[in-house]
Amino acid sequence: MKGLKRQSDLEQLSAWMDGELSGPDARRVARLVQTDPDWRSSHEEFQRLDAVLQQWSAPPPPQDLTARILRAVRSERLLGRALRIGAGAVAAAACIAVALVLIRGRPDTPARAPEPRAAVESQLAGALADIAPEDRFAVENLQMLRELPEVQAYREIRDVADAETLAILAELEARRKPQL
Amino acid sequence: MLAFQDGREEAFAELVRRNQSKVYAMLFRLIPDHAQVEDLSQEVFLRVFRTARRYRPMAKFSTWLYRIAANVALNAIRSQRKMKFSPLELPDSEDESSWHRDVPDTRLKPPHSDLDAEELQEKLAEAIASLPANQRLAIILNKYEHMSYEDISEVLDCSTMAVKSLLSRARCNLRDALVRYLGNEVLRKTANPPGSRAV
Repeated sequence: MKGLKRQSDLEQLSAWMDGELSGPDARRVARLVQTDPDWRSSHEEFQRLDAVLQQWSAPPPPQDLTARILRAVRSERLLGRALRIGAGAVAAAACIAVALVLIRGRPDTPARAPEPRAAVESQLAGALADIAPEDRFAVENLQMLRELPEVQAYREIRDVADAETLAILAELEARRKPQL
Repeated sequence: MLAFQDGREEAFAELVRRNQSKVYAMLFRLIPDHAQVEDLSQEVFLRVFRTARRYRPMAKFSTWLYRIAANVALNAIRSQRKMKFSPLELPDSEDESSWHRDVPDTRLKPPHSDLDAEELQEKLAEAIASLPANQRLAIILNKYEHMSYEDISEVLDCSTMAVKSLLSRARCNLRDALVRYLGNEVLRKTANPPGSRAV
């Protein structure tokens, strides 16, 4: 059967057809496509394939998609604002509590539990360490999650993450490479 | 985008209007399900909104946007994979250029030379959907969003060599998938005359 078999040749042909080769490499492929039957055959197959692929059309988005997106963004902004107000109230109450303790004297209490934010950061750091390359998209999602106002306002990560992100987090934690 | 970063919120609405069609089209080609793509499109722009302050003007906005869309889509594909088991590793093949899993689809009609446009759309969608996720993404970004290898490498966070490999493998898999179901006659009928190298 005619046509190229070696992956390296197919890559060169594909890149040449996409205009991604230049200089001697491009000239070499152009010459081979003209003179070599296997190169010519594969070139014609890929040309026919490209022509067929161009016939695949995507539908337009629904007419109300913009409105729907903007509604979702507005809801998110309102939620963020409410959380910041709530977090501010909590922070203010915490400051007052600390001030009262200092005024009245330190109570005899056992070591405090870690700050909620520290627990969240530790969880993220553990999941992000030694991530395999194929999981880099999940890392992007986790880093985006880290930036959410809700996380920065010291809420539990599990309160704000959706089911998919939680599943990715669980999978990454299970597959973490052992620490050296 | 810069106007939005400066706090001009109406700029975000304009940003959505200008980009929603291409985001929707890209997502639909990756996951041909209208209801799901509407949800995913919304998720893409929500993430743009949340992470707007991280955007740097040195980076092309379209590349940044497509990267977010790719993340959203790949997460959705990964979730779908978990729900309906589909093996990630492809079996060995005698022809090392073909990575296509040979599972006959009983819904498909037998090869037919008089393929109408609607049926061709279905066959194309199936063939693209049969590709591994990264190949699917690479071919869609190159063929339909007309992105260079360098831009695709930024979206996929890989080297341009890796993009080159992904695209050639995707082309081989699609060639094999479409030949198997459509036959060479249809490809010859629908092709442009051979000539210039790029389509």
